[in-house]
Amino acid sequence: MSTEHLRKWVIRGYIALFFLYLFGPLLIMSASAFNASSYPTITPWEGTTVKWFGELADNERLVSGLFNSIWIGIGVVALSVPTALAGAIMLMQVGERVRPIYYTIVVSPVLVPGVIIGISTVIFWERFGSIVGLDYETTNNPFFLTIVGQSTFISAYCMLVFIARLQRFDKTQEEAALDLGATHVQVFWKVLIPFLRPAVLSSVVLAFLTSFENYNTTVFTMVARGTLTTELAGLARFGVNPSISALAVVIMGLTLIGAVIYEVKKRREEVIIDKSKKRAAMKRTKDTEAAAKQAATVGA
Amino acid sequence: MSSVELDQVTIRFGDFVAVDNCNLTIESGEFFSFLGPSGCGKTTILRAISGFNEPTDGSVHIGSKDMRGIGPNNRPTALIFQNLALFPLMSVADNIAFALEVRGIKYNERRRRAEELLDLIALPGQGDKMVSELSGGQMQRVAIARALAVEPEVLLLDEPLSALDLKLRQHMRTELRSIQQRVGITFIYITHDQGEALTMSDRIAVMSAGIVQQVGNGSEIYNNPATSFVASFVGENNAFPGKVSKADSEFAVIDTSFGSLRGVNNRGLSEGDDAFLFIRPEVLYPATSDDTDEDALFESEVMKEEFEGSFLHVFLRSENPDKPYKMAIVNNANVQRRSTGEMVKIAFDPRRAVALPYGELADE
Amino acid sequence: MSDGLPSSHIILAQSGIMPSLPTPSEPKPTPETAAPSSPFSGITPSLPGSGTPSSITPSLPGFSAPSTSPSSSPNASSGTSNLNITITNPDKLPDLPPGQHELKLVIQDGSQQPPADTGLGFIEIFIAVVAALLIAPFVQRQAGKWSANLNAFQFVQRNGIAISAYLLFFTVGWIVFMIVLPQLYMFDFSFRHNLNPSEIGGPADTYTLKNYIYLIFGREGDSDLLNWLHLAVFTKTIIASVIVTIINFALCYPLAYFMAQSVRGSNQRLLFLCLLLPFWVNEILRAFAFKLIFADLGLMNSFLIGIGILDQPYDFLSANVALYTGLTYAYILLMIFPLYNAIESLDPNQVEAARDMGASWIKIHTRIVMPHAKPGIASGCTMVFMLTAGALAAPNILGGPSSLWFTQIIYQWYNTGGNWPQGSAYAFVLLISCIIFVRIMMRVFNVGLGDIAKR
Repeated sequence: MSTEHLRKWVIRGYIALFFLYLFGPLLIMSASAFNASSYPTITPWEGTTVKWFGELADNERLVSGLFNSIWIGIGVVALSVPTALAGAIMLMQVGERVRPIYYTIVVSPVLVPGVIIGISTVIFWERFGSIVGLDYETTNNPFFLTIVGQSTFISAYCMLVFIARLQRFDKTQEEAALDLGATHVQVFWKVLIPFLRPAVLSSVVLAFLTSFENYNTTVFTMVARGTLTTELAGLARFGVNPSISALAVVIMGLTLIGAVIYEVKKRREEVIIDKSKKRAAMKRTKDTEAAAKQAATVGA
Repeated sequence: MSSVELDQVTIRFGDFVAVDNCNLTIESGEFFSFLGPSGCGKTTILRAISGFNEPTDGSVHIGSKDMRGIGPNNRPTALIFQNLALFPLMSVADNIAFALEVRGIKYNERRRRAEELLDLIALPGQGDKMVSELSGGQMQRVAIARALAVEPEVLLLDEPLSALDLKLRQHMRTELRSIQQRVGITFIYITHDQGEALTMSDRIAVMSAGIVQQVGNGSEIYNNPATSFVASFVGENNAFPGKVSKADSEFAVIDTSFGSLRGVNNRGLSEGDDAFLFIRPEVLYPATSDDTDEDALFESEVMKEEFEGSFLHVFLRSENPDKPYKMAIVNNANVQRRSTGEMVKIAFDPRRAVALPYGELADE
Repeated sequence: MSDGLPSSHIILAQSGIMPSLPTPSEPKPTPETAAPSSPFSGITPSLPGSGTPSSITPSLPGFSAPSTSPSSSPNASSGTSNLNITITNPDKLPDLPPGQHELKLVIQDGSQQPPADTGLGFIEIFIAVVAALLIAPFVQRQAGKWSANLNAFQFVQRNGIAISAYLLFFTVGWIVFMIVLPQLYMFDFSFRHNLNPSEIGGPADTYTLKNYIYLIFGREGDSDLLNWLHLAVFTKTIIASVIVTIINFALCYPLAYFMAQSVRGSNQRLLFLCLLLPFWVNEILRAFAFKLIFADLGLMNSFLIGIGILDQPYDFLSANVALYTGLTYAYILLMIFPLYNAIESLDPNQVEAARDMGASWIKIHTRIVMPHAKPGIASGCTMVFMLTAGALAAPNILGGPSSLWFTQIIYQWYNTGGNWPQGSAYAFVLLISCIIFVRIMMRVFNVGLGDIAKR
């Protein structure tokens, strides 16, 4: 075999192994959900069953964890997305010299380990709350702490999304709207937000999903309670029946469906963009023809 | 309909002076242009009038009202941006009706008014199209209609035609002028294209480096420029540098490297001043035996000739080998072609030559 | 009256009140329960019929302030214990008929009385920030000229009052109350004693370095010179994280290169999607999948036994193989995408040219591709290192008994150990290590913070 040929196979082999590493564990875990064995595994196979899915629904802590996760997710979206937007707008407006400092500060939560964010959030609200005289029940409420703690870094992620979109915003549109008599609030809602719509949607999805699957921070802030993720971790550590695998199958199934929908949408969008590009090109040629005709007829 | 007064307006950005002590009054209903090269401050003035920049010193009055502290959304002005700034996510009708929408006017009323304006700009019934579906010229007109919806007292236009190609630009010049005359409001127009300024405006302000060099109508600016900059920026001009040897209230004689040459002295030149004598290409012509005035004659070498259709351009050697003088002879039956290197005698009418104090010339 | 009251059996409200703390001699952590985080933070015995139980101060033998000497605790891990209650103000007690009484001890999650004012330093910060923002506009008006960078007046003009308020409120709120102050409070907290809430603000509340000293030197009176266990765990965590990062890089670089240079169009997006899919699955589940594979009865062992390499199931979990595999797996995405983005911007012609000139492939990569991809490499390695060093889920799920991850120690201080200041100190050490790492990466690779944070 020539070296070129050998190289191709090495590359192919490497890619295959890589994806095996990537997907293998997940496939094995999914398979174990159907194994009747009381310990999640695929060896030995003790018979195919779907009973673990039923067990899943019976697990009270998981179910309550699920609801907690959802409520927290909603809270996090409600807090992070406006914060992220405010942060992004401020970044665009702050002066040249201050900008790097500001950016470093607001992006830092992304780099700080989640456990530290969780710890510092809990400590801060307990102490600060007592100093300023806030209600103890509120400041030590696990939901409050988790929403605030998670939002600290989720806002940063969403802010990056907004910045990317905001950079392409044509500032003159804002000025045109003002010039036509709109108040600043009207400009915000009628011009800026419609432009940012895709970023808002991305942020909402990003915030919710990131919040849902967060562990490191949540495990500290959810004092004595749990989200689906933390309960799952507890089970994964000590619980020993394949209902976890069943949950994994459910989650992966949902993810797969989500991914397929996303891909189909993207494909469709591409077709539309192509079509409109072609139309724009044709229009430009028509433009000059029409103008030439008109100029000729109107005369000087 | 309102007048606009700029009273000692100076605009500084840090140490940079963008507009230096501008004093002028634009009459109500006038089509007024600011003409000058990029960076001369004309856009800054426009933004000061519309409220996006506050003057560092001085004040802007619109209709005798001081506009200091009043934001762009509260001034009786409407601005047409250079890139038009139409709202891409809204339809044509929504764009036009935007100003009404933000004032809380109901949908039906807004729609009606939008239709009226669409008729005015000759795009009837196109209201539901999206902006991206329009051609360049149509977008221009929509931008104008959108601004007019507000019924502004003053319409400000920021080089609106610069993005269009030549034929379309010429067509739009006439369009804009006719719209202005139909609606009757004050138009303040900025451009770097003197052809536009000259054909469309009632009066023009020529600017350079933040300073208004001259304000007047097209004919004044062209035939009677106030500074060397204006003389060299507007239209083509030949600048003969030299010192004034003789001067009175009517004429000045300048000692140039081509001999003494005489021109009109409207700017109070005296003996000994450094000056330019400006003679336009179409004012120069090949001397005949009837031309005897020594101060209206000179001799130079032909560098090349260009036949341009309506004119024959003859390039003559000047002091600066890179910038020859230009003589433009109307193309008629007895045009005589000359060969390179030939020496010719050139004559001109001194009443059409302008003597001006030495100053900056416009870049080529 | 007081002598007439018999000593009572105390029925403990919740089990797990006397956990065993992770001491150097007892490395095995106890299972996590749903116990409250600070078992000693507030003990409020309630007698039937009485109102505020302020007159009873239980003193539990062996527990005064549960901070410095955890080793003196009894070793019971659950169940009932006998506690003697000393009643100091019997006059305040209601009249009880003679006979046995049940005294119920209700352990609460926190104190009912908010602790007294302690963080004076931070109040000043808070006030200073707010004051600065309020005063700034007036100062500017007077001065006329100010730093153009923070011109508040222009800001309000540009955005209108409502929007300015929104922007400032959320941005300042975020920065001050979620990013800066919590870190400062944690930093401050790490220098304090582990006190009951009632003692906060009192004479015992002083600053101390002992939490940090503990990390290095262990307890006073300990036989060892240094806190070998915790130091070892810390060092191991860092080194292991570095190794995982390197392995991760070696694993992902070829694929990133391949994807960036050879695959185009819709195939590319398909590849991305395939990469993304596993990472939409919860990280817990992903770690758990590895636990499955490496378990005694799991696939790995069965396979190896099946083909005859092993006779008996090998405990992969204890040997940390599972953990390292799981950790490498966890952050592949964060390494691949920065690498991909960085390599993609390289003009493929450069590689072609080098190959034409006969450069070997190692040369091509080390001299052309990698230097170009420096920002991507820095970004990927930094993120992977920090997430690995700060990982909690994978070590919890996949870690064997001998592998303690530094974050797990922190977690224990908070949970079963009940020593928040100690935990804060450890957490702060972790934070500093991460910052040092980021700075080193930034220096070595010559990149800025923005490059690292982009995904």
